[in-house]
Amino acid sequence: MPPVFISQTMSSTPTDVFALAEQRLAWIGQRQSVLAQNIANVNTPGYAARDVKPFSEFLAARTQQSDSDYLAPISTGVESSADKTATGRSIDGNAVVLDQQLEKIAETDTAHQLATNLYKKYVSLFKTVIGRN
Amino acid sequence: MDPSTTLDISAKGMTAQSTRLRVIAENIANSSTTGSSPGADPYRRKIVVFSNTLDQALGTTTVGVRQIETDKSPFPQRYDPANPAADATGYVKTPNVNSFVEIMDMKEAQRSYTANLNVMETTRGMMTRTVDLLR
Repeated sequence: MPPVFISQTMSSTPTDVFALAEQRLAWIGQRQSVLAQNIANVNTPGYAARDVKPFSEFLAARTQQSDSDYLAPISTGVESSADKTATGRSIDGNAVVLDQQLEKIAETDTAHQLATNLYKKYVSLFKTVIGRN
Repeated sequence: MDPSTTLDISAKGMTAQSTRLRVIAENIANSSTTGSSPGADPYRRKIVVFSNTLDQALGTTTVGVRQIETDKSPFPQRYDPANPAADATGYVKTPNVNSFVEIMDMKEAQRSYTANLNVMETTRGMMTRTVDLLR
């Protein structure tokens, strides 16, 4: 039996802030990587922009895994697919709209900021309880 | 995915764009390089072609320069019988480099480079914030 690092109440419920923040940060990291690829390929002939699945779908796929799968690769459930919101295609077949991608990058950045701030706040709640604030 | 992989992807994008800038510089620098012997071909414009290939070390696809091709368009001719590269009728072939096209290409390369740099800065900010969680 694998060692249990986190108590049951903190790991298995989807409303747990630590677990949720971990999943959220994993998803954000994946998305940032996919968006970076899109921007790196902004002048590659025939390349079409990609994007990851929405966070809700990712979370659903992750929470369906059993507890023993917690060491499964973090990329599970975030397969990227062609970005359907991309508009326009240039003459060389490239379908990456730079400003659209940069806007998504900014969106990911804000989401990351939110997740880390919430995590910090939650930690400070615990610190208050144990009297180290 | 590891955030450093994201940084690597952006870095590869920047390398590709700077190769493109180097080729543009070469084109502009040679925009009046004619042939050395009578009737010889002058400098032929070069074009960089990018491709998205799998990087085994990173385990993801990254952008790279597939090859540097040459522009197949015909050379413009200029009447200059005194030129050593002039053919029997007195015409000199000049390079098929259009400085306006090159400048536009340069702007585009610069813009793409900046975009990659911005992604890099954002990713770095994310990494810093994640590390700051430990404080």
